[in-house]
Parts: sequence; C-alpha cells; structure tokens
Amino acid sequence: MALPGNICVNRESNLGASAAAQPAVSDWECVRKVQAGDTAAFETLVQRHQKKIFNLAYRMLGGDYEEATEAAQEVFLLAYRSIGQFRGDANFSTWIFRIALNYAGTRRRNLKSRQQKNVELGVIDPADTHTPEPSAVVEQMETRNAVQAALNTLSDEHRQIVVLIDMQGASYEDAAAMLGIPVNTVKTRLFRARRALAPKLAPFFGGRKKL
Amino acid sequence: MNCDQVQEQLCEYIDGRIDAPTGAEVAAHLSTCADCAAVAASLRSTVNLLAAQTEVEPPIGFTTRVMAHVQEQALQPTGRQRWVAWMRVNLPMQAAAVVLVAVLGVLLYQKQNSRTQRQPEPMSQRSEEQMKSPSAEKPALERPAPLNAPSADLREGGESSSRQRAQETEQERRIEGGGASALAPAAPTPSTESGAVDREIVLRLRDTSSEAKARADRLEPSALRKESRSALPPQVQKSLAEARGRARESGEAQVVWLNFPIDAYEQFNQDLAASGVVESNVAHHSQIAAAARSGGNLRVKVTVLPPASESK
Repeated sequence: MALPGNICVNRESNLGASAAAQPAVSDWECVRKVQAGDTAAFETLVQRHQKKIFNLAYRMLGGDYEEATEAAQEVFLLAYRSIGQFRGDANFSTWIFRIALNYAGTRRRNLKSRQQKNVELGVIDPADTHTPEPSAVVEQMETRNAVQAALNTLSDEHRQIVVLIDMQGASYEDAAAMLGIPVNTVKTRLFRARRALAPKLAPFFGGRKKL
Repeated sequence: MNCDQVQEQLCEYIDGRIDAPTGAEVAAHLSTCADCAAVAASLRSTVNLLAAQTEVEPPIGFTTRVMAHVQEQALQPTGRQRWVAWMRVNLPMQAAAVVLVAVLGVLLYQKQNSRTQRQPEPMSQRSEEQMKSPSAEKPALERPAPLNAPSADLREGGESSSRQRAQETEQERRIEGGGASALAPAAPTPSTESGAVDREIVLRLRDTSSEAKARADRLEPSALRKESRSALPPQVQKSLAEARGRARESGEAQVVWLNFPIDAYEQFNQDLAASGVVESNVAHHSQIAAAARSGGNLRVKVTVLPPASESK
C-alpha cells in the first residue's frame, strides 16, 4: 500500500470533463480513429481516463498502489484489444469503467491472499490509529487509511457503488449502466453501503479524528 | 410517510436527486423523528468524508508504459490476420494437393478402364497349360502374327515347357512356310500391312476313338443341326472343315485364317464347340470393337490341333 507523497490531487466532481476542459476531440472520435488503425489516438483516451480508472482499481483492490498500477494498465490493454467491438451505444467512459469493474473483481478474487493481507490491515479499528503529534498530513493519511480500511470491509457490490457514486461522482444512472443493474438496485445498495460505512468512519466526521 | 419510507429516500434526499414534493415530505419527517434525523446526519457525514478523499495519481510514465504495450500488441497480428496469413501460405499447397489427387485419380481410373477393356476371356476358357506358361500367351496378345512373319510362338518355341506346344509351333512353321497358299483361297490372308487379326483361337479336336467317340456321337446330331443352321459363309465352313480333316489325318496342327461377318461370330463359336475343345481364345478387343462399329468382318486365326490321342 505504498503511496507516493506527492501524487494526490483533489477529485473532480463528476466523471465527465468540465466544460472548460472539454476536449477538442471527443472520445467517440478517438475511438473511431483507433478502430481505423490509428494507434496513437488511443493515447488521448489513456490520458483522459487513466486517473479515474487508476483510482477505481486502487479503491477496489484494497488500496494497493502496485496492484492498482498493473490492473489499470491491463484494463487499458483489454480496452484496446476489444475496441473494435465498441459501437458507441454508451459513453466510452461507461464502457471502460465496466471493463475496469469486471477486471478488478476478477483480479481481487484471484489474488485473495494478497487481498486478505490488505483486509487485515483494513480491519484495524480506525479509532486506534493515532499519532503522538498529529499534523494535518498525518491526519489526512490516517483518514485515507481509515476510509480504505472501511471500504475493504464491504462486499464487492457495495464497494463498487460507494466508489462509483461517492468517490468518483457517477450519477445513479451511470452507475446502473456500468454495473448493468436497475437504478432502484443502485439506490438500495448505496443506502446499505453508506449505513455500513457510517459507524466505521464516525470518528473522522467533522474533519478531525475524535478520540 | 413513516420511518422506513423516509430512510428509503434518504440517499436521494442527501444527494439532492429527489423531487421537491417528496423532499419536503422527508424534511418534515426528519424534523419530527430524532432517529431518522440521526441516520440522515450520519449518512451525510459519510458522504462528505468519502467525497473529501483525494484521488491518487497514477505513476509517472503510466501513459507511456500503456502505449508501449499497445504498440507491441498493434504489431502482433490479430487472430484474423494470423488466419489469413496461414491461409495465404497453406491454401496454394492445399489446392495443389487437391489437384494432384484429382489428376492421380483420373489417371488411375483411365488405367483401370483400359485394363478392363484389354482383359482376356474368362480363365475358364483357357487351358491350364496356358495359365501355367503365360509367356506363350503374351506375344499373341501384344503382337498378332502376320502370315509371312515368324510368329512369337515360333521364336519362343524352344522355350516352351510343353512338348505338345512345341509340336504345335513346329507344325505352324511348316504351314506358314509352304502350306499357307493352300489355305489362302479358303481363308483370306491378312495383308502384311494390316497384319492383325481380331482373334486367335486354338481348337483341340475331340477324340473320336472308343468312349470319346461315343460321346462325340451323342453330341454330333446337335452339332450337325447347329451346323445346318450356321450363318457362316459356306467358304468359311469349308475351310474350317478342311483344316479339321487335315489335322485328323496328319495328326499335326493346322492353321487356318478365316474372315466372316461379325454377326456370325456366335454361330462360329458354336461350330467350334461342336467339333472340339477351345484351348485358347485370345481376343483383341479394340479391333473387334472397331469392326463392330464399322459393321465389317471379323478376322480369326484358328489353329486346329489333332485330338490328344492322335497328336504326334
């Protein structure tokens, strides 16, 4: 779960690019170019979606940075291999998120031993994480570890919903499309996932850890 | 709206995705229900905490690394391309193999066909002697002997294993040397050019002595009746009868050349069967077929052998 100190930035509010940062070339145009044999056009898609895909893999794979790197890389390769099948019926982001969710689930199951190790780290009571002289950075690290530990206790279905909606900013409809489930199921799962997380994260409510 | 109904709507209420009338109902309930209000507050804090989490940056050079793999994959042929390449290499070979097999099949078929056409009369019609010494038969099959040329039997006479066969060839030599002219009027001699005959028959005359004679007598009436109905030209019947007579008298083989319409061939066979045993009947089918097509005559070389008991 090694994490470089200078790699964090504020999350965007939603999955799509903001109006100001609207790309000159749409995802669909890039896809068409790649389908026509322009491999370089795929680089645009990688640059545009790598952060979301990487973070999804990171959260789904127990906060293991190396695992997330390998998984995200493999997700893009899978997308490249099967891009010929993409017909533009859904957004490219929805399509590649679906690939990422499926792949992360499979990888998590296949690497159960490593995952158990992460879970063991995660099940440590967040209230026990304390430092003698907590600085803002350390507190942030503690909160992040606590959040990841709490996520690791959830089932895959609940974790997916929370990561997509609460951490990646997806709409209920987008999440339903990515997971291939009805919107009402999304609402139900989201409520249960949040109810499960709330007591675990309660010590960190309000910005500072409550001892 | 009761507590369960409110809690079902809490997520949408917190996320601001609820319609205004339902949102008002939920808000009214939360203002009066401490439990639901606590749950709502807890959920809102959870959502805020999760939303406040910063995103993790992918490692530096992530895009470059992914694109390196992508380029590597782009250079590798796809499954379809591999299949097309495989077909490009193997299809000509497969086509060549199919053509080769087809050509071989046609050749084998033609060979089999020609073998069937050239197949001699059924074995039952040959003497055991000929079956044991195929060398005596071969020249007759391959090279019909012209009257003036020495026959294959003559050339291979010394090699013949059978004494009787040696006598026959000896007699044939004599006939071809001096007696041919005597037979010529009765049997039109094939020209040296055409040289070929359609059939070469060796007829062993039936033994007329003692028991054999009695048997022959029993056969004679029917044979005579058949002869009386024979469609063979009288000149041919006469030549054949003379040759039989000479063979009986001299005890030596007599060769006679016959030429008659192909329609009379069946009757000719019956006549032969009445007077003796056909020891050899070598047919040259291609020539017979040609004669049948043209409606022409059949040329037959008959070697009349004396009865076994009288042969010298």
